[in-house]
Amino acid sequence: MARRTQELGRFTDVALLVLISLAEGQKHGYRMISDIEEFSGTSLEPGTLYGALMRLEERGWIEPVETSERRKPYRITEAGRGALGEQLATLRRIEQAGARRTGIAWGLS
Amino acid sequence: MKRLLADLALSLYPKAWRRRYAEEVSDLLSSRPVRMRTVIDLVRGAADAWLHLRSVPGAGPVRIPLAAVLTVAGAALSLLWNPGIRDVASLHGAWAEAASSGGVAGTMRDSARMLFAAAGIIAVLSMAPLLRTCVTAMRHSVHGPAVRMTARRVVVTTLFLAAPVGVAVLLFVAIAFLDWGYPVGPLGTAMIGGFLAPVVLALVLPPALIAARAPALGFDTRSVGAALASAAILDALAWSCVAVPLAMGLEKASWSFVAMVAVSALLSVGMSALVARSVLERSRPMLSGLNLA
Repeated sequence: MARRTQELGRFTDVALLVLISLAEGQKHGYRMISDIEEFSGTSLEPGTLYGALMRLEERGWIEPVETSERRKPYRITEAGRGALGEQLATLRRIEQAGARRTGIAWGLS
Repeated sequence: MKRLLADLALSLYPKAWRRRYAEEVSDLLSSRPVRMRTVIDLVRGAADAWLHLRSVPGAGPVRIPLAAVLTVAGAALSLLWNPGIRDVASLHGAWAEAASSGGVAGTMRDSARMLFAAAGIIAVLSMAPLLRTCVTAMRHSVHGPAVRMTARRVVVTTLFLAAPVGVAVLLFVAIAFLDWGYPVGPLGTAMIGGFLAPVVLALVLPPALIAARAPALGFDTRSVGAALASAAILDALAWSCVAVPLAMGLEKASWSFVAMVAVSALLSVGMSALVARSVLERSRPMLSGLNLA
């Protein structure tokens, strides 16, 4: 996952937020921005959001949903769910290591 | 004002990106406040999209416009001729050395001049059947308005380009056969055609490409392509004739002069081949790509 997300560059964090948002269900750009702001406090601008969408779509981690509406929703693919699962597992390991180490540090002080 | 700036920033994105996402982003912009950081973010996103054009879904390979390639190649050839090739000591020294070995050098010089001249003449004359068909198409209503419009554009473009072609031909005749201008010596007169023939071929290209859009003009356009391919081959043969006296007098030529001639030859042949290939590719019959099996 780490190797695969390397190419996402500065969009790595945004891509993760988008995948988490879409894991709940399909959303269009406006709803994604609102949802991400709600659950992470990160306010995304359209240029950054669509830079991440472009990369995620290219990797096959998300796909547009055919619709007659003006606003095109996107949904996460199976490959995207797998990538998200790996990334969350990595973050969990980091979080656990951080908690453990800060716990030791607190114990010493 | 900021919305206008945001719309302008959207226009900075690559065409493939805009085709895919612009409508969605415009919709998004219209439904939320646009701040200065929104505009800056879009400009940054446009730069990113250009840098990662291959990541845009549906984007084809990056293609450099043919006109830009030929313009740069033509300008490079011009600079290679002057001041690149005008190394008097090498031009005259190499020729004197080659001529002292017998009549081969003279024969090769004459062959090179005639082959370059033939390349240019074939390129110019290749347009005659196409122009005749276009003039006929313009006069007869049996063809649809689209064909008549294309035919008119071919004729107008050809008339417009006739002047620069004429200048190139005059320059070639004056330098190669009348020793006009800078004293480039026999070796220079042998190779001047290699700098002008590709330009003549490139000037024939625009009307041929316009004609290629109309299937009704396809036969004549393919004939132009075939003639330009022959001209490109003659250009390559002419340069090989130039190489003989140059090789014979190599000791008297500087390495930079030889390098300039080699680069010029490659550029000249490459430019001619590109012109011919472009016409042949675009004038293929419409059904040739289908596999009926």
